[in-house]
Amino acid sequence: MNENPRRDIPGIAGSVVFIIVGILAFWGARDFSPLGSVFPRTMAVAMVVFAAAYIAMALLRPTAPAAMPVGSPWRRGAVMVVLIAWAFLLGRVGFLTTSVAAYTALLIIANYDRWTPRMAVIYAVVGALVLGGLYWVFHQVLQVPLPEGLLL
Amino acid sequence: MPGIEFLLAALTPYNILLAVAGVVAGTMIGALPGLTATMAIAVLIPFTFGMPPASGLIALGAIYTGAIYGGAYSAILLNTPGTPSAIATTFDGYPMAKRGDGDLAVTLACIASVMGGLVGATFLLLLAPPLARFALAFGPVEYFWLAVFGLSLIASLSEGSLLKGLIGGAAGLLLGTVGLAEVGGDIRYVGDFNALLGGFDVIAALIGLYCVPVLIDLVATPDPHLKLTHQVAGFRLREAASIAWRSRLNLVRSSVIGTLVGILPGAGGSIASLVSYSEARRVAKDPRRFGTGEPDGILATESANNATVGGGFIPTLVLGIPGTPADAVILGALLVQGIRTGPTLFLQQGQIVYTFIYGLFLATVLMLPIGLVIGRYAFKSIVNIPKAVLVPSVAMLTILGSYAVNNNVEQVQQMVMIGVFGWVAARFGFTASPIVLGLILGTIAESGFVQGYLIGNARGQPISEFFTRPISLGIIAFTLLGLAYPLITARKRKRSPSDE
Repeated sequence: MNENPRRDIPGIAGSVVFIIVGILAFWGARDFSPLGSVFPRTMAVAMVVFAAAYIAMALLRPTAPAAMPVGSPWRRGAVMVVLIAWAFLLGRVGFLTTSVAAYTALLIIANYDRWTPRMAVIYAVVGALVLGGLYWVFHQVLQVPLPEGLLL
Repeated sequence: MPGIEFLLAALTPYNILLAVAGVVAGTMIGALPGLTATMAIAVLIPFTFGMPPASGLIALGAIYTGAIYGGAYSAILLNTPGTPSAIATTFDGYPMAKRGDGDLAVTLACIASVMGGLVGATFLLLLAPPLARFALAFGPVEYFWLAVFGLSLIASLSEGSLLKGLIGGAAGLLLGTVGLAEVGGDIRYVGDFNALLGGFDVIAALIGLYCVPVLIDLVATPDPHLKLTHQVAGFRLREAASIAWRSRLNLVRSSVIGTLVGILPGAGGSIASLVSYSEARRVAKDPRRFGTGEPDGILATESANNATVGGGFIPTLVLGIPGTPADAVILGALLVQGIRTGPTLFLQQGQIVYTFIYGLFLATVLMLPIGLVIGRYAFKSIVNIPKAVLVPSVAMLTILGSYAVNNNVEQVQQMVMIGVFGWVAARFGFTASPIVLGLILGTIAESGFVQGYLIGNARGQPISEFFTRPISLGIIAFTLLGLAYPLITARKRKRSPSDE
């Protein structure tokens, strides 16, 4: 039971986005054949109805919003940036180069301990083993053709 | 009952060695997010071509059963299903691991997987021909209702708000319509992104929605990834066996559900585990505990998905129709070995088939010690690895796993973007599970609905086609019961608060 109910503003905002997406999906289905449009249209309508119902409920009966995340927003943002850059540069630059760069960046972002030379060496060795091991398993054992791109 | 000679033929040192190697290889591959049981079999199948047919099949069966079980490790310890079959294992497995019971969850998953595998193999041994006929009774309408039954699970996956769960489910179903329509051939919501012609890949979406948000949140604080409330000294086998014994009805029911769903071509382990989870929750004394680290949830899903191994072999061997994608690959291996599947297979090539089935029993039993040892090692590793190593290593696996599905860079991009969307949606109170459920079941629901409508239309009764077939009516009844049961129990609880 929520002891301090208030309006779920993030939930309402999210529902508004889903309503917009639902309307766009319904409108986008106008060129589909009758058979191809019935399911997406039904789902779009359902999404709009549920989202509208949620907004009405949240306005009439205040409930607890989703818990706000604790911790560093900068580190979170940095992880997102690294993952997106990794995914989009993988094919152009190459698997090995992007993976070494992304692995190093994520290691630095996730580390909260004070850096020491010993720690740096251990992490470098572990990183090389993980990267090398996974590369060997996927490339040599599983015969997955990993992207080579401009560098490797 | 087929004779003891086949059992003895399965128990040769060579076959035992193959079964051990197959279970170990399958478990390791299945544990890696993105690498499915189908991929494990496809990669290792060439090694079996030089073997005697029964031995080759035993090796493949062992890889298959190990891979399905292996998917539970990352589901429990990283909140990322190693294979799509383990999606429902995340619902209670990860909360258990978060509260410090990850080792118990892994042991429970192992016991349940063995139990499910044995039940599926028993059905395969004793009831293959009549059950294959049951599979043929399933038409598009039944598949549609089966998908709806799975979607009814949204009610139990909606943390906090049913409406938010329904919105997420509808969004997942809508995402599932992107790309080339299975019926009619329309190209939907693709725009200029030709990479979306094949739609959103379920495995890439699974990895993205479950794993990327965990990675994003892992780095935010210096707290350890998983709690450890005790010294990891044993397998907690006695405790797990005691829980499994108390939940034996759940185990048997889920195993039977898994076998029956496995028999249905195209349904597979993910639907089996979702349906059995839904049933376990429905009949539970306190359904509210599901999703918060309830051992019964793990027992239901893991027994069901491993039961699909034996179940899936039934239509594969009796009808030549693969029950699951992995069975389709094994069917190809059977043809290479010169084995012609069909109703007479059990009579004409009984030596090979029954030896293989006993070999499947052998591999499943071997999974208990092997699974426990690997599971304990996996748990200790995940608990002890510093975040600075865990985060980039898991990120590497997500990138490799989503790429290796189709050797496609665009699927890696899809995975990351869906993952970031999943994290943002969770901040707005929309959890990933209903979206994933919609995405997985959307295609089955749509093709079942459209094909059923066309068949009904040809008969002049498009609507009644959906409500007059006996199996459909049975599934509808279960769906309604599943939706109404929590309301009934809540009402009962309100009337007699002393039961709390």
